[in-house]
Amino acid sequence: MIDRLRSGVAAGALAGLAYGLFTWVVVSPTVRHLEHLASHGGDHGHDVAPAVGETATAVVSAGGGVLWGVLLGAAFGVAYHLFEPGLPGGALKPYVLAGAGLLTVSVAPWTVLPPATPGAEPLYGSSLRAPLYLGLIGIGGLVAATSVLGYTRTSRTRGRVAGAFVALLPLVALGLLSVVAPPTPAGGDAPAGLSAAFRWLVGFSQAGLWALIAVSFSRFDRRVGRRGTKSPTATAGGAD
Amino acid sequence: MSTNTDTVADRFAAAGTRIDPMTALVALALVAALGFGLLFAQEPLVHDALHDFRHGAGIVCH
Repeated sequence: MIDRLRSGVAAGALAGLAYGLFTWVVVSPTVRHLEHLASHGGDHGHDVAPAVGETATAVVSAGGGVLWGVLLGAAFGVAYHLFEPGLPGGALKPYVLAGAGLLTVSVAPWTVLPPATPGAEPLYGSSLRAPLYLGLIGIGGLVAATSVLGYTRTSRTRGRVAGAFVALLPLVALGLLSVVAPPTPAGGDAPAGLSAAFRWLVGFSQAGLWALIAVSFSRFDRRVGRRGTKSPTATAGGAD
Repeated sequence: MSTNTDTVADRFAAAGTRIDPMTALVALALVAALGFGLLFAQEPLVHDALHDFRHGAGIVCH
């Protein structure tokens, strides 16, 4: 457990560093630019009272990216240790779990609350958004779990294709949720294409973050497995 | 990887016996604090400084 947690945090820190750099180099300038565009059309929310300067925002946001990676990595390590016996895919298990994580933390909330384009007016107040976000994370976890469970159960008896089909069903249900949910305003005064591009950027950056966590985690985990060939319970020294 | 004979339930049971509740509670509190700070803290100074990050990560509570 502790070994897995350590691998997870290390992988998360590595991925988080890359992601923080990405936030610094790509996201911050993009957000600046989009908000600049939005503020020319009318006076929208964000540029009313920025309590912090732009440089500070960029620095802290990059740091936030690193911490985000560490947080996800730690959760990933613990979840991997607990759920590893139930995951399909052999050597690809970390990637399956990373996909489940992406689905839980990002994709499920996005079905109702898509990534906000900078400068756009949010649909709900923040007091409603926070519980909604947490609830959607819960739903995402449920969807990921049923999908994986459905795959392992069905593929054991009826083959992989049937398993993949069953695994798709919860995902389709989640997709329907995004159809039912009220549409969020696309992009304020920023051009529609630009705000769509921003959403893709966000989506791909999160997918990349999870992929990076999975890659480096499987690397670290293999090294740990080689070092202590016995089960992880043998490392009593680092128990707590 | 490690032993592949145990099940998810075994892993949970092992974790339950090897990690005392206090440690688990502390770990959970740390994770919750970090998550809260990054995702939900509405205090203006913290909130605005993490603004770009929230947008970039697609976190809605920006």
